[in-house]
Amino acid sequence: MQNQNVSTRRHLLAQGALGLSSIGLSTLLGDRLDANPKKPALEPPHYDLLPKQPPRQPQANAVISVFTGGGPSHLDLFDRKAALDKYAGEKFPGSDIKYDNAGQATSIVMPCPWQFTKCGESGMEINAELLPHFAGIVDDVTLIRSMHLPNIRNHVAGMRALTTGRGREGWPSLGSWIVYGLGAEAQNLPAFVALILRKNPPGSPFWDSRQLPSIYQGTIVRESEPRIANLNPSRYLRGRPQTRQLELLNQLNTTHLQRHPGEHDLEARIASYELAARMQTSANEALDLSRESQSTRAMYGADNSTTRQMAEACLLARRLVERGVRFVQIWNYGWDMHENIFASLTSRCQATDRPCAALVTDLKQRGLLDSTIVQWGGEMGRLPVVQDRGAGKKPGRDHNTEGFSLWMAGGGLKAGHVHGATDEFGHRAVQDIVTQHDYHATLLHQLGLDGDALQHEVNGQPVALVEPGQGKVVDGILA
Amino acid sequence: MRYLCLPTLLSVLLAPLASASEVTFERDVWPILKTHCVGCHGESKKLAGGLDLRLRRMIATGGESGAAIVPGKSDESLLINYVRSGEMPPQAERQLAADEQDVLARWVDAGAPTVHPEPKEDPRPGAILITEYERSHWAYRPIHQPQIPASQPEGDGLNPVDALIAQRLHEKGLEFAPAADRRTLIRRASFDLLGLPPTPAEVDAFVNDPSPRAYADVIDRLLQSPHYGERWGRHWLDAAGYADSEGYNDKDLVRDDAWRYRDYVIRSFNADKPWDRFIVEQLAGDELVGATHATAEQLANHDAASLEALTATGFLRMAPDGSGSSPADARLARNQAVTETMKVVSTSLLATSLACAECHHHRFDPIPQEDFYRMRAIFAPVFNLQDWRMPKSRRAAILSADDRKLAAEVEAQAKTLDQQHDRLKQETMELILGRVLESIPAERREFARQAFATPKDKRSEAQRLFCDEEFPMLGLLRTGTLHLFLARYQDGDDLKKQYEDVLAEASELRSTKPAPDYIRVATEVPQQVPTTRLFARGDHSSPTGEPLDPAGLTVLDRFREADFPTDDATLPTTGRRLAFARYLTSGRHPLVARVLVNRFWQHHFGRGLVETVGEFGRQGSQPSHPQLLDWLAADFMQGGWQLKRWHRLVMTSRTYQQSSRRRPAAEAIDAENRLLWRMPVRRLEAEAVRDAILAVSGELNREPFGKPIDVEVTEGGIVDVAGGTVSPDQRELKRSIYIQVRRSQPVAMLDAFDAPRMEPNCSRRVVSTVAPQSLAMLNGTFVLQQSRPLADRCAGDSAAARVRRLWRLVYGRMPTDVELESAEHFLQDQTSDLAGRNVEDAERAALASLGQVLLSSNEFLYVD
Repeated sequence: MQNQNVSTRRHLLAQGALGLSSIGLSTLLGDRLDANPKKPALEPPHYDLLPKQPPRQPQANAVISVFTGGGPSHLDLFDRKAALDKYAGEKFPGSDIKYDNAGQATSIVMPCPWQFTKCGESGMEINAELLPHFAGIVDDVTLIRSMHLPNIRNHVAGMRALTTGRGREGWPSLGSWIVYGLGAEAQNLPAFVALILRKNPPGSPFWDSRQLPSIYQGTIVRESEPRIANLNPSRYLRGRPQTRQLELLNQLNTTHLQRHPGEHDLEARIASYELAARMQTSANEALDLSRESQSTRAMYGADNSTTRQMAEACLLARRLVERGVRFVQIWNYGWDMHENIFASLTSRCQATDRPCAALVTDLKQRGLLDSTIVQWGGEMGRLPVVQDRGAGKKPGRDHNTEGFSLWMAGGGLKAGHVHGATDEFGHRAVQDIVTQHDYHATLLHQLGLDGDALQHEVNGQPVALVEPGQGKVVDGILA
Repeated sequence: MRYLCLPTLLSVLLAPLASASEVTFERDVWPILKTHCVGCHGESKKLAGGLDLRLRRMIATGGESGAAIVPGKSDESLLINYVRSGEMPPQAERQLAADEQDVLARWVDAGAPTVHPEPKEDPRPGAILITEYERSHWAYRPIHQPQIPASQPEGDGLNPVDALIAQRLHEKGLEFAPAADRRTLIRRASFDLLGLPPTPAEVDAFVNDPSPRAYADVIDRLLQSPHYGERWGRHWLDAAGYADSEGYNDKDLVRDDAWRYRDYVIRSFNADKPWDRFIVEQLAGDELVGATHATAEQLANHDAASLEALTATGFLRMAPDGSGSSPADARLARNQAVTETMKVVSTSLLATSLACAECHHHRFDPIPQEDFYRMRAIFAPVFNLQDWRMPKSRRAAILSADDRKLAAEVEAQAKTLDQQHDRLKQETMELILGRVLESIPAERREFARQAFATPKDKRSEAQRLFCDEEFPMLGLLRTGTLHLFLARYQDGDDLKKQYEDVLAEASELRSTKPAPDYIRVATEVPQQVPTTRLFARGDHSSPTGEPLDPAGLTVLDRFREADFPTDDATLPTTGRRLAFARYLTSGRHPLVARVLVNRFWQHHFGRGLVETVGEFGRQGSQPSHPQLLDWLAADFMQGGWQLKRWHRLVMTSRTYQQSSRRRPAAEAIDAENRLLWRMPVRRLEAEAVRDAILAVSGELNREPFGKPIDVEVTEGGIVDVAGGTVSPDQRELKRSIYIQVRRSQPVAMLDAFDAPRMEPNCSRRVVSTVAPQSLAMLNGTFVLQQSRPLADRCAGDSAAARVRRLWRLVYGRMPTDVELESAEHFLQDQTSDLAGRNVEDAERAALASLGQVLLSSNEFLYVD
């Protein structure tokens, strides 16, 4: 029920407020584009981004993913291990460690220097010293402590695994799959947005549609202008001159269409120019953070140089989702801490903790958290032992894909809940293990999609995010 | 549902087999069992529950639980009860749909009939069974050229294409559309054959040509244009998966030399090379000219024919190949390169999803897993996993005869300098030796000289002690340490300069030698012929079973005259690919010619007679005009496999010359226009959009061939041709086929208009209509840039004259009165607005912005 309300609210914002007649547009587009091409295809397949009814009642209809690429240390943030204190400075007594860089590996156990605190009513134990704001939202969060990427060690493969299901290159990304399955609620904004902070993560693009039609590709929104490619007219045509162009174009196209009655593709292109024009307005509106109140900006930390970058990204994500964008992924690559981990982690948390917690709080206050999933995490955690890069270098931790943490909030997931566990030293996930396939299956499930059935045919062969039977929905985190 | 409602077409084809209402084992039951059941019950080594479902009699016999069916009584049959209860198949995603269960039940109730007698011998355990019914799939039948219906309402002497199209139209009470007007026709023909619009002069000439051959002459002229190969070569490059980078991982290493293959393809199309030859060259050009890995370079430089044939084998080097990019798992990367190559070959020439059989028997088509590996054995001598050659080692350096001569001359001169250098250095050495000797007491100098002259390992103990310990300076003096000695003397630098200058001169001279280009080749190393075995579950580390000999698809065995050689004694190579290529082009192979003419048809009519251009198996679609498909395939082969002849035939047909207008009456009967009662309206492909804009702006650089034009990421974060800049030689304004195809960096403008991603190739492009296309047309740098020279081409005394010129350039016609008036208003208002914004030369800018409108319009972006 709540979903319905939220959905309506989104629609209002996405379309009503921007003067777009949703009925007109969807009728215009809807009767000509075949949403679910049948096999064998009778027409060259056409694809669109119109909202599609998922096979199941969805618990959520949008996702914001804060991808903390590089591998935030679960041991220092989310997964306290007493054994690390007990064996501090001693040789690692457990079973073999899976190192990524054996050359710099030591087997000296390194404890977490911060205190963990039981937070909120749920008493979730986290590092509230580094994550004081996250501490305030734990009761809205499901923390998965048993993430595990089978047979994957390094960043690029790990980021691919989490965004495409596989360590190997060449598969459609999660966001593309989601909009392939669900379409978008806003036709005047990109359906899938990749918000890139600083530079691209290595091995990108992780927002590629690959074998899926290119309309499912993520649209890059940059942290500075031009935020979206080709969005704005060149300066001298801005405003009236371009409107005049569009008017004449529409006149020419309409006359042309009269000579080709019933030619749907021509009508679609006329609509697509109208759409592009509206997108200029609505995307610029959506990307305009000056429309946010001072108090909201302050809540995210947008007025503070330490937090501004992430704050603006989180604010943008909320504004986009609010306007009907289906999937927003913020790429915050910078959590790969092979040396000097304690100082690096402190500064990274200072830059991101407030904005990310504010995002959850803000969504909740606006009644959007019930229908939006927020996900925070990277492609790995870190090892319980010291990585030593040589004399004069402060210690770091190496990659750990065997066991790590990520958190999710909203969208029909349990709140104030911890799922799964790693071993005594936080190295391997041992209880209620969640692989990337399980994670994807769960995400799709909450969106009303069926991981086993979400497939696209390429040259007669099915392509899927989750291969049949590969991923299980993690029932334990569903509300 | 799928199985019962096979289109009427098939039931017509299969009339002797059974009528559509009767359920038969072969047609109705077997496909269901094959898809859902026989994976465990027949086609796997271990028979689940002892039950084999491959033959009717085996089903009746049953397994450990007894007979699987009781003929006539479906409700007493275990098979039916199991599938109805969902107990079988155990995997949820494999379960039978209700209509499929009904088919099985109806079959049992009908007494479980078969149409053909079953084979006497039981099939081998685990073997895939290929039924007669499967062999009779339309695509696996021999190509018979059908009779053209003799008399037609349209009159005799009809183009055979029209006769066969008309036949289907008349069956449904449909008619051809009236012929398109000449302006439409020349635009259609020009885009179809060249990917470029006709010039206003060409349009006028055709419109005013009174000759009855006017249209045929236009087609002849277009077919002779060098741009023809750029257009049709691009179509084949889609199928071949052409790319200028290796792909596989994010390094996506650049292939500096793939373009030689691209140019070969363009030249081959322009020369109308017969396709049987074209295919043999691409699959086995090396074997054709007797080249091996060792001799390829020599042969390529020896004569043009060998160079051509070897360049053609670049086809087998188009698939992503990450083996040279230090991949995490080298064996996996190699294996993947082979698999992807197999995909390219099987989809482009056979329209068969052979890769489905890499891990298990094909689930839908009669393709056992062994077939994948037998086919792979054909290519294994090139792609030898054990003795793998990296991409860079699979090349041949190419130098023209003149360049080679020049290189030899330069080298000879440089050698002379080398000798001069050696001599000078030796003289300096002597000089320094003299100076060292001077520090030795005179009476021992002769001994010292001898000791020095004796090679180190031949020195006597006394000599050694003398050189190494008593006078170590003597021991240290060598050519390699001469410079250290020279540093001790005041004249040292000058002495050193004397000989070093000569060396620098030699190196300078060598740098003027012409550098070779490379071609990417597929070659064999005769001493290294690997054994091919099946990989269990497709895992390259699990080869299993007996060695497999090279072969084609088992289901097509009857079209093969002889086995392929495993090692042809008459050739320096194994001869496997050559035999395979000759088998494909023998004129008997049922797939190749059908696949080719279907692909050609797609490029004229927007879709193939078989929609699924890359998939002719059971998962693909049925031909809309099976007789026409076969007639064209047979005619193509009989006519010498020549494409230009084929274009003439098809393009002079009434079918092709129809207007594209819709007619409500016809639409009510065949809304999809499957029967071709009109010409479809088609959007220009990505390359044609860009090329056509360049053509009308007058900026198109028509220079053919050559190295690809680099792509770069602009500051705005967009991948563009050379980052959006234009160099003095204007190479960035060449046709789109010459733009670098970097798998990881698709050019934004082309990507927006659905240019394919090569993973590994593309049989049929998607046509999307999305806002990023509109944004690119409205705000993209390319269109804005091109609209200015377009405006400059529209000189004229009056606004009206300029508008007329613009219309003729972009649309190939005059504006209507209404359009003229609107455009004049537009120019007036736009000019005053832009002037008000202090835009320099507002009149020109306004005209450019009008040009941009036309370039963005449907009339320009679509072909009627």
